[in-house]
Amino acid sequence: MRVGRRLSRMVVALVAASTVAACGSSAAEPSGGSVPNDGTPRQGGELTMSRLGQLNSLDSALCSSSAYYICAALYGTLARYSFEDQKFEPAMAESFESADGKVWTLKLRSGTKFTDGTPYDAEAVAFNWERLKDPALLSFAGYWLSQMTWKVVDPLTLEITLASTNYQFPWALQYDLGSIGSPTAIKAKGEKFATEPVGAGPFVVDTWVPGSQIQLKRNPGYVEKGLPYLDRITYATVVQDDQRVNALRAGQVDLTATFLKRFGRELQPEGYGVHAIPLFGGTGLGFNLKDPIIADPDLRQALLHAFNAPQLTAAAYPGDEPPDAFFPKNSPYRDAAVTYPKFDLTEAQRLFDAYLAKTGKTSLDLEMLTYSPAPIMKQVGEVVAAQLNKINGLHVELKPTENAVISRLFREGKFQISVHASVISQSPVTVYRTLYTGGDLNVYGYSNPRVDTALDTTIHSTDANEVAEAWKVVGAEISKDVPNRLFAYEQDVILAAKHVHGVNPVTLYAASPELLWVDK
Amino acid sequence: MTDVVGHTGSALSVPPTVKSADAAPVVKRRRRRRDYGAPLGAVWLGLVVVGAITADWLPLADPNEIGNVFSATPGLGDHLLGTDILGRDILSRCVYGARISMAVGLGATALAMVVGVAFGMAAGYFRGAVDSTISLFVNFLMAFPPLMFLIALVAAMRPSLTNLVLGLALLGIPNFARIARANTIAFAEREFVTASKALGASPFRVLTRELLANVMLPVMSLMLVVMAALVVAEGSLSFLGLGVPPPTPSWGGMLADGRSQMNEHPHLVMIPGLFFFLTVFAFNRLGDWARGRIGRESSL
Amino acid sequence: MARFVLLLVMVSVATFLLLELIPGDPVDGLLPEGATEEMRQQLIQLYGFDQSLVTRYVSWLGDLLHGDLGTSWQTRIPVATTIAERAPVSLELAVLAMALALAVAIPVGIYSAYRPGGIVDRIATFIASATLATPAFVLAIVLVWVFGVQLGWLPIVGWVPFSEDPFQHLRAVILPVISLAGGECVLFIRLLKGDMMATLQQDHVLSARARGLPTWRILVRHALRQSSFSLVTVSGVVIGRLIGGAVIVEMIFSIPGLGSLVVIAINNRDFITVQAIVLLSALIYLVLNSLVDLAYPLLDPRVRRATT
Repeated sequence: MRVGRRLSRMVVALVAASTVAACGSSAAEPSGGSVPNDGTPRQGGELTMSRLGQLNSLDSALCSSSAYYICAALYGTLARYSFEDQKFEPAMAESFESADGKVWTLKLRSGTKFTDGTPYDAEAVAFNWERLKDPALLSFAGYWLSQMTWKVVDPLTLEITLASTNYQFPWALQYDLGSIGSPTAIKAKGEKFATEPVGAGPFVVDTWVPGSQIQLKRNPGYVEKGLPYLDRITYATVVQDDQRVNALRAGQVDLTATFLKRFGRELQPEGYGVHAIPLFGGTGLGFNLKDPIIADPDLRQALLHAFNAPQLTAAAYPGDEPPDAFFPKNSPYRDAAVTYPKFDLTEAQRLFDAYLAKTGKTSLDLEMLTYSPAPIMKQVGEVVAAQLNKINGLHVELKPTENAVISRLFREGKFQISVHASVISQSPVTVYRTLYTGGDLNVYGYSNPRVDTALDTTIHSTDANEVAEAWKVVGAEISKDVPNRLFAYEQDVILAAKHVHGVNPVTLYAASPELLWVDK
Repeated sequence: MTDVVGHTGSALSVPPTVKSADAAPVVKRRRRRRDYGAPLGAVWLGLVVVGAITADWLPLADPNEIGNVFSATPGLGDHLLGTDILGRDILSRCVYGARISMAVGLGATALAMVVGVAFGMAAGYFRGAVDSTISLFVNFLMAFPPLMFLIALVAAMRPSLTNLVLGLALLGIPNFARIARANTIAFAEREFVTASKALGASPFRVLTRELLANVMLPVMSLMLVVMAALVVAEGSLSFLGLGVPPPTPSWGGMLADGRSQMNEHPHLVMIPGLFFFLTVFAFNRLGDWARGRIGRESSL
Repeated sequence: MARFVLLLVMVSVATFLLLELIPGDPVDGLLPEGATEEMRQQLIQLYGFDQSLVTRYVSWLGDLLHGDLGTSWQTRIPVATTIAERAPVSLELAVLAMALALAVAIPVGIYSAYRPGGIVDRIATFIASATLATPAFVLAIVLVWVFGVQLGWLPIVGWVPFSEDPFQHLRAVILPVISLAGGECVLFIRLLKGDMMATLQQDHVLSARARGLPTWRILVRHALRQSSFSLVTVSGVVIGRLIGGAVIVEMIFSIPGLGSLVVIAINNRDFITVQAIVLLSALIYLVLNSLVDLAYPLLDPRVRRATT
């Protein structure tokens, strides 16, 4: 089953430790990406990667984190984040620079052609971005499109003006705005473009069984010289995590991915390549601070003290480290002085009784949302509800709910507590959107001026130390206010057979396809 | 497929004559041996029903208590059938899960039977416009792909035990209506019915006093088949995460939960699977036995 | 015919109403994170979510009468295209499951009727009851575990199209087909055995026996011919059911058929796709059922006698 997009996002990976995303990066190197350092790449060969989701459309408009793997292959991306170097490098674009973080100059490589022979130029980029504004396309780029304007300076140059300074803009050039389709083909094919895509990426579609698997072959005209290495790459759908790992062990696939860290721990000693991308945020227990009942800080403290993180981790994420603050223990952004409230049922009961006395209630019923299509979310919800229900006088009812309904409840602010993924992204911009006052993903109704100021610094500053200090403030404040009590730090884990090299892991179960190579 | 129509296919596809092909084997059996299936089935179902009713008083662990030993293998000790991935006692969850299966198997089937037989008999007795209206409705219900219908229905009504029972009952109605109608038509021409009519009995009286008993005989044998089918249908929904909401245990939900660790801990899936198997097996054997008995009687 | 059309209209109206009741606007299911309120309103306008149910139904029906099933709100691919891609997959599974069920049921059914109460009959009866008692989703995951994981004989990685690799394709369909065939096979055995034993009681068969013809020849020449009629007709209904009904098996094996599509579409609130699939399934069911009703009296002399 295709996991809903919101849900897919949650399973996405992200580099908590590596977020000093270099900006204004512009390499003069004309060809080749910064390949992960594991030998001399070999040309040729093929590999199969298993994926958790089904893909029903290949339209470049749907390119975002959840379809990244296919978009990167068919359309390429303007920018590419190198996991190893922790910085952006040029891909389809030759450079992207900004002097002030507000006005960006995007330069394209000359001579780039779509596979239908038409030029990949500034007009094409502008056409694609304009097209994404059509709501029927359901593009993820709305956030960026609503705060930027652009103009074509010359056939290879675009000037982009953002509403405010944002040095993290290159993330958009990798994901939401990064994949450009042939305008000629888009105009000519109409709806058929979703099944007959034309891009300029490293691969082209060979065979495609919608909803099941897609086989790609090398695009000999790809603009980065010497790339891609592989002749063929196949993406097959295998929904169950353990089945994907079984298939890897059985040699049926060469590359796979999971968000369950335990598989990485199991496979590493067996000689498999394990590439884990830490992400910002994780899965946790979110509070609607605008809800009249939940708004009470004493009640929230009572709930937080009743929450037994080690037990939940042992049950649902065996072997993982139970989170005790917004940033994990190994994060450079962690402020060691501030952690979440500790498990203490007596204290929880005392606070809860005080809350009842204060409000004149004798008991309290709460509703807790969880995503119904994902078994892990249902199980986690069951554990949390059972733990909170240890408080006498409190009854928490679990409401498994589908994405569509949850989206609306979140939008309208009509929920109390929710087990859900928070942030879960490689990009700091997602943290900004989730925790900034009034942010479009801020479902908690959270507002803290100190956090706002610090978040502004993370996107306004180019000084790595200043940014790191700002993240420390964010981490400490969030761990103290707890709009969301994380119970799992999420990672995207790419698992590779021994003969697979050049894995540059990217958000949501992907590896840059053009950099992969095999020595089999 | 695991739907109602699935297991009653032979009843539906055979034209509405009283003597279905299924009844034929009873005509003669050579060297018939003692059949232990039916009594054993009855014992198992008895255990399940009693367990479901008395679960609260049995010496069982709390089915929703999160434990500290996860996916423990069955064995003697604290947990006879082991624990699930959240450390909850599997035996206890199976017994409590039986409530859902039995509520659906007995409740939904009874509801479907009452409504189905009422409509079917009315259609078969009055014929004409009543018959065509009811038949149209029955055909309409049957034209829906059953599981798709259930999934949409559950999504629309929110999963709860009541809604599940209602939805599954709706699915079972056509089977009862068709068999009731066919048998009403067959018996309506018999002397005792025409005599009763000639004596001025009201249609309601004829239907309830003269026809009901005769119609109920074949309906009863269908009932066990439908029970099995509805238990499976509920399992399918729970397996897809559309059954009763957690933490209420259900066999289908336990299966779905255990799947992610099936490699390391097959018992997580095998035990609820076995409960399904034994229950459906018991219903089927009892159904075969009942069909045999009723077949003999009605062929006399 | 009028009745036929009426039924289809009823099914489509009921589907519309049912989907209308599902909580969560289609817009909320569709719009991605970060979509602005403006985009939201535009989308509502575009698909007419703000119009009345009647207006939407009439416009959907109008398109349908022009042969247009609409375009998926989710993928923007015409629904007809998606169905055309997925229906053959479901059809293939149904036909193969059917073929497998018949291939097992015919010899077992004949032999059981030939020696009722014999060892084959008893083993077959036992296996039959056991299979019938195993829900398809239990059978499917047990098969995956035994043959895919423990023995490693069959692939656990999803679907390989026939055009791409016929051998791998066959390996990939074995387990789903067995899961689907299980219950149907048992139905056939029961039907066949019942039919045959009844046939053996008929006058001309009894006289053939009296003439000293071996029972197995009588079974094959007389009984099977008669019984095959009911098998064929029942097969019609069973196939219709399998095409629309393999939801769980398709989900477990990640098979891109109609059943898994409908679940995904309901989750994504892509109702236009759901409507089309439900209507198609109903159509297939009704057509096959009508064919069976028409064919049955023509084919089977017993029924001709019984109904006249």
